[in-house]
Amino acid sequence: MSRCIAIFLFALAGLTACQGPGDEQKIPDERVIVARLHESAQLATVEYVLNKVVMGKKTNSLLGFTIGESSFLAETQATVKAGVDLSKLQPEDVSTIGQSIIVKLPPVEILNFSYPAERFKINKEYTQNDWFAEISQDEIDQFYQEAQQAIRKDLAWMGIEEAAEKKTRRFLENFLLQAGYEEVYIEFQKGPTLENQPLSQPALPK
Amino acid sequence: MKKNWWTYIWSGLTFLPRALWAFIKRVGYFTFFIPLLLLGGLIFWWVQTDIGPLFSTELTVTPTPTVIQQVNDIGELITAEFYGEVVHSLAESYEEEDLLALRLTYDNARKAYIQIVKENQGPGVPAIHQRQANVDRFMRTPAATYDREWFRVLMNVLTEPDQLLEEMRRMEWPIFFQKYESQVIQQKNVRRTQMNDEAQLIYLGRGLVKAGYDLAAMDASQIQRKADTLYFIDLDPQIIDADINPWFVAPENHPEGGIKGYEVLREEGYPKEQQVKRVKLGCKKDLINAALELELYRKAEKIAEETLLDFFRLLKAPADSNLQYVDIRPTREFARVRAYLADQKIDREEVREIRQYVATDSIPLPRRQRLKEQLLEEVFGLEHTDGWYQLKRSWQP
Repeated sequence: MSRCIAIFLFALAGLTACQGPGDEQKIPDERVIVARLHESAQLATVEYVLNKVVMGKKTNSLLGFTIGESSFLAETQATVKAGVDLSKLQPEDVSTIGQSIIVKLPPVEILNFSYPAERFKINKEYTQNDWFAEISQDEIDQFYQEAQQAIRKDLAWMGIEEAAEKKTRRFLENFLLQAGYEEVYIEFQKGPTLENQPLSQPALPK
Repeated sequence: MKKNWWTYIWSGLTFLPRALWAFIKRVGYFTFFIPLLLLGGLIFWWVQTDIGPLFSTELTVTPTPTVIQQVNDIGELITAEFYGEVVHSLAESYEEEDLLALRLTYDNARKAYIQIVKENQGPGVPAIHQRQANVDRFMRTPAATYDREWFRVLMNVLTEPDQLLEEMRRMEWPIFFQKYESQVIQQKNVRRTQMNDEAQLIYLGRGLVKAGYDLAAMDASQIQRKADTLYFIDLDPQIIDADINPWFVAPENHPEGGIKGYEVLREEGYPKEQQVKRVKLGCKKDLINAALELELYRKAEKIAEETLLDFFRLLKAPADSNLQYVDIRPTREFARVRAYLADQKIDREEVREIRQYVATDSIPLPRRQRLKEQLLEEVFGLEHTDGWYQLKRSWQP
């Protein structure tokens, strides 16, 4: 099992050499505005399911005096996947001396951040819409946007980096020992910490 | 002087100013205008100074902890990514639901009526009386009473019940819909308007769909080495993630202050939570459909295969030094669905084959279920959501 995973993993690292621009094609559907395909080579090894309560308030004021105040509360759930982006692995990151191999893997990254609308549940008992400060859908989305950023900042202390490194290291060590190496050294390259990595997924369209 | 109707209109129009003027005279000019001047002066002073805006709206979010609910070990390999922007409206999502409800009502009614006609066929009864008896009997069936709301829409398409039922008996829904499309749509819209739901919502959704392989679900028997080729057997590419998040790119990572994942294009009448979810889910489904139309699976498969060999050269593993080829083979079911869809049409022979294939006991249950769902989605335009099959947006009867 671990052997096959590692075979895949390593094989896909070769993507480095053949990464090209994403395919672009217009598709016959008026509701689809932009559609692009990209190649990728990511291995996600850890998934965190996170709960977050979103609590917000809207206050409308006239001449500095509050004329209306609405409150909002929702229970939400996010899923974060971490692992390594194998397309960043270069030939010089793998070195062999006899029966020993040293692999310098790219730094652990958040490979997918999912904060789906279907996992948002507004608490109707707490949420109050004042007539003078009605909360619009756009404003509710702003609350969720704030929450997404807050979750992203909180990722730094959750141990995702360590967990993903541990899991990925285990995959590789098993494989390389089975592949005939007697000594295996896995290292991770230094990169930006999780809270400093871009909030959205990599391979964004230019 | 005789009053004409102009006099009455003029009195009506000037009533308020005259009443106001009478009030001012009664309270006195100073008593009335001084507070107004004071209020005007206060507003002027407020606007001139930097105390704050006259009218302000403030959104505040209370910090709350993020709680880890679960940590899972996974082994997902993503080899193709799709980025798309889609637009979906509440009206569209109702359109899909309404058409599905109409279709189900039609099918039920048709089946019931055909059964009644079959049972009532007999010699000696004049055809005209027979038909009326059939209609009367049908009107008491659950098909006409249980689905009453939707059946009424169909009844309004052809106002004579016997005429409608005869048409239904003769043709299946796709043909009926084709023949009476404008009437069906019109009646459907009338019903939707009667529901008095004035909410409107249109979202623009930006997101990613990722495809690859779930390696955690694989076992050692699926790997076979023959001569210089490494085979991965029964390994299907699949959609690993499909996401539209509140932020697509966060403000701190974008020079123009971020890119929203969901952007409201139009909002009227305060849509309910469920309606908002419905539209957002519609955006996500559109995104997945668009990704599949661009052959995301094929891309995921191709990339995985092409690059394996390159990497083994990079790795120089002693046990795999003779490896020359890598071949990933999907399950037979996946390959069949792909073959059926290759020419964008399903002929009778293929339908027969699909039915037989789904029905056979030689396919393990989970795979059979997966195949069934895939076929219903890709061939018949239905997709499995929350335990129900729903009409897929892009499907046209």
